[in-house]
Amino acid sequence: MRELYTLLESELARLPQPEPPAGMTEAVMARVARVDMDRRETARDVAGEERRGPVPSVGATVFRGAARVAAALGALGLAGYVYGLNWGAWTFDPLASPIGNGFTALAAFPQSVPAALGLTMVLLLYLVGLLAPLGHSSVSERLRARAVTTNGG
Amino acid sequence: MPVDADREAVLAVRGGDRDAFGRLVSSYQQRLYGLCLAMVRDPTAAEEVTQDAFVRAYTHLDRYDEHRPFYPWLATIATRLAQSRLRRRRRLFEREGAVIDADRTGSGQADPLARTIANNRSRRLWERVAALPSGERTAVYLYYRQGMKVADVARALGVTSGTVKTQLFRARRHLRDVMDDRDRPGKREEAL
Repeated sequence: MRELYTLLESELARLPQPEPPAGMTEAVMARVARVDMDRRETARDVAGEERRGPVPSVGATVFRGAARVAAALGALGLAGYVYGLNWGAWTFDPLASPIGNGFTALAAFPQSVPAALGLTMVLLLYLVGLLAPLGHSSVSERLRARAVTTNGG
Repeated sequence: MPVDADREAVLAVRGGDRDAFGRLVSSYQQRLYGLCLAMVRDPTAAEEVTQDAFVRAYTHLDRYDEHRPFYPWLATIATRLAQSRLRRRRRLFEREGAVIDADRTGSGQADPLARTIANNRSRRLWERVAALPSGERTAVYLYYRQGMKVADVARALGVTSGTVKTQLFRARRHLRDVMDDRDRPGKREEAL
């Protein structure tokens, strides 16, 4: 049996190798070049998508617009309140007025300038924090984008 | 191509040098084409499988362990592609109503390699190898003709080393009479 191994090995090794078709290397390299081109295009597309960010839905766009209007009105109201409290005769008091008609002293507003400025700053900070997610992609989206970048490149 | 040269070429390809992959293709195309031809037994199909194997190797080069020889990894890809093609062909034959065992369709005369062998006894041996069932034939080809280790052959075929040893044992038993004829040239005439 051992002789058979040796004979088989030597006989089979001696058989001629079939010649591959002419131009095989060129054909393979052309396909490889296409693979590289596809990879570059895919990478460009992904980078473009990441730059543009996700396409917002109609509902999100409407909500974002309404939130911006509400933020602008809120800021205007605050500015009016602070102005009226300190320098003007007219008092714009969107919270106190309805309360003042039916109820008394539900909310006591500060009367001094530093306290009013402090309240304004805190309310502005609250509004900015409240509306911050609307201006950027969500945290999960950002994390997903970061994961794609890490694995892909 | 020496193992070190393979490793250098692979590292160069990973570094963006596409021409280095061309060197690997030039080095192994004949060997790989021979394997594919032995498996699918059709020159056009063998060419396609060979090209596909090279392209797949290129796209998955990050999975190749550069501490191991390159050819067995490449042969594994080609073997899997050829097996997949044979399975598709067999399903097609069955669907068309002609139940043909695709492993046994290649008679010795139809085998492309057999036509190129001038020596009668060598051709007869190859015809017997070509007539073996697909698994045995590929195992014999990879082990005896391409000099791969049993573990590498097993990996290429997706079976255990024990299965490869069994396939080789069965193949040797099938081929024994041919080799015996070679040892004793008069035996064939006696039998006739």
